[in-house]
Amino acid sequence: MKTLVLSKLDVPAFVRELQKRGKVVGPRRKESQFVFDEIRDPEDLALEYPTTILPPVRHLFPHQERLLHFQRKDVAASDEIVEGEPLILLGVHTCDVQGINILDEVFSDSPYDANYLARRAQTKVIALECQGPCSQYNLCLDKGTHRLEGGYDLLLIDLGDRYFIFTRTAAGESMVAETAFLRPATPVDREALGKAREMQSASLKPRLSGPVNRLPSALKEAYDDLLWEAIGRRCLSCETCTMVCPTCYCFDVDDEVAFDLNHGVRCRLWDSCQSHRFAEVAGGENFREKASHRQRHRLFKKEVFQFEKYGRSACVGCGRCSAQCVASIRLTDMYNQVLGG
Amino acid sequence: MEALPAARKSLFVPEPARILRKEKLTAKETLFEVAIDKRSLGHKPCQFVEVSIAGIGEAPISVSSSPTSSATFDLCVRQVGSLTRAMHALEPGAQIGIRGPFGNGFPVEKIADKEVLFVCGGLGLAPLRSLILYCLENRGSYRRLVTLYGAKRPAERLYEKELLAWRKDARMELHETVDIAENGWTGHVGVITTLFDRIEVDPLETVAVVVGPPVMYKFVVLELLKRGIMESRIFMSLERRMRCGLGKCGHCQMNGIYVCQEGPVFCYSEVKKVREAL
Repeated sequence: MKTLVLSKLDVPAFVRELQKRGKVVGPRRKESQFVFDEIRDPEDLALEYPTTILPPVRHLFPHQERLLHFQRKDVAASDEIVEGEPLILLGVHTCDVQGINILDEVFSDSPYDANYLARRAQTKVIALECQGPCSQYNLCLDKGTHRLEGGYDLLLIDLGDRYFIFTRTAAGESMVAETAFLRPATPVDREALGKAREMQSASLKPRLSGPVNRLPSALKEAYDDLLWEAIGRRCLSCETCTMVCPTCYCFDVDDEVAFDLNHGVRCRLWDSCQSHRFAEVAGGENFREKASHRQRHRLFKKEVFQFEKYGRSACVGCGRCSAQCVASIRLTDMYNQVLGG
Repeated sequence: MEALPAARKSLFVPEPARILRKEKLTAKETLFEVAIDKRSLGHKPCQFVEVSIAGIGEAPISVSSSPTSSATFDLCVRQVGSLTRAMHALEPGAQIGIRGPFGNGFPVEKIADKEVLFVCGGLGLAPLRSLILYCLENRGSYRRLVTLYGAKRPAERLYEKELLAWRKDARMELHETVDIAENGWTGHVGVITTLFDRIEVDPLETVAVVVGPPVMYKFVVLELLKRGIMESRIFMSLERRMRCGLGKCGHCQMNGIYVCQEGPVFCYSEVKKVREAL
């Protein structure tokens, strides 16, 4: 692991260096909000951003992804499409890096998902520690996602006029190996790093009324709670909460036929457990007919089912589902209610 | 990233298969005998495949034939959605795509030397037939085979010719019922649980296998428990709309369980406390 320093004045030069290695995707302004998009002009990069509308992992698991070309008359001519390109995700907040780690785990779990893994194998992640809360809904302190154990190639920490950089992987080392404008960190930088992290710790507030590790058992105890009915009455089943989530990965598969009707592509598209027909089975029976059941399933999938399978929560505390819910359903409120806050 | 497995071939690519024979079973259900071009399917009883028609999509269909039979396999398809409608329009010789087999299949070792009670409703006979035929082929391994089959109407009974043959077959007892008697039906009328009065089971030796529409399970399980059959000896195939078959897409998820991978066959004792299962 190396520790380096990048002056903010040199960020454009750094982006240009990265562009030599692949497509650089980072936060940029879109109207009053921010999105992860390709950074062609380094001036477009907006590293000081609260959070983006969609998480960057959506560049690894796109809204619509082609799985195979087909010939309508000849199945043997079906040709798999496994896409990917050298990609550098730059300025990824730590909670979103954790979101990528979670999808890595899900899609590399047997049976492997070749489509996701092909994109992932060509992707480098440059993480960025937030200096403070990004919204009133983020749970990163409670979830422990304000700092990272791994899952990135480089980690940037804002020291005001410069970024402190940790290298984590060989790929990360290579990205900073021949960059003249980076300098090794000095004791002064390290002291500034310590202060920045102290300020971060002081500015982040816990939002949960109880310990986060009680969530799986508290939710299970609350399975039949009236809370779900109350949420179900407000929920419009618009699916926004699942569309903006960094760890939602449910999908559907659909065929698109070309105009000549002879060939086409089979695609997978994001789907949502919040849609009414998602859990319908043959014969029309629906195992999660009510919005209350579907919202409960969403939270259970994040905190109970994935916890039982992988030993970790699948909520990274980014707060997007709360911030963007058109019915003002707040994850924090639901968690606090089950935790007895 | 180093720890992640390398990307392999996509599991979404179907294999070419051909429809060899087509037999209309009812107004809505047709039996297709299918062969994959380059291999035999190699399925276990109660597994399913994803059937694919390019341009239309995919649908999960249970394999209806015994795994030991031959290089071909049977799919009993109800015409209900776009894929199954398109499939019904295909004639012998037509090509389809197959992915699979998927799912755990039936644990045949758990019923050896037992009295086996098959309880199936409606289209449930399609997957269960794969196990019934397997058991008939290996009849010496079981003490007794009893089948209870319920259909809504006489005209909706699947495998009518086979039912007739089973009725005469000394290797198995068959009891049938319909909900609505029509077309000169002289047999039993009533829901499937009313057939239980016609049979004597030895609760200590019986294994029950239940496949049918969701509404059937709770009533049948109650009957089985009432007769003293152990929870760990009640097996059921729980159908969900399994889109990818790979435990990822989420459609078949039943609490934390992906039915396409961990099911569709479950033991009652495993799933009785799983909400949304029954």
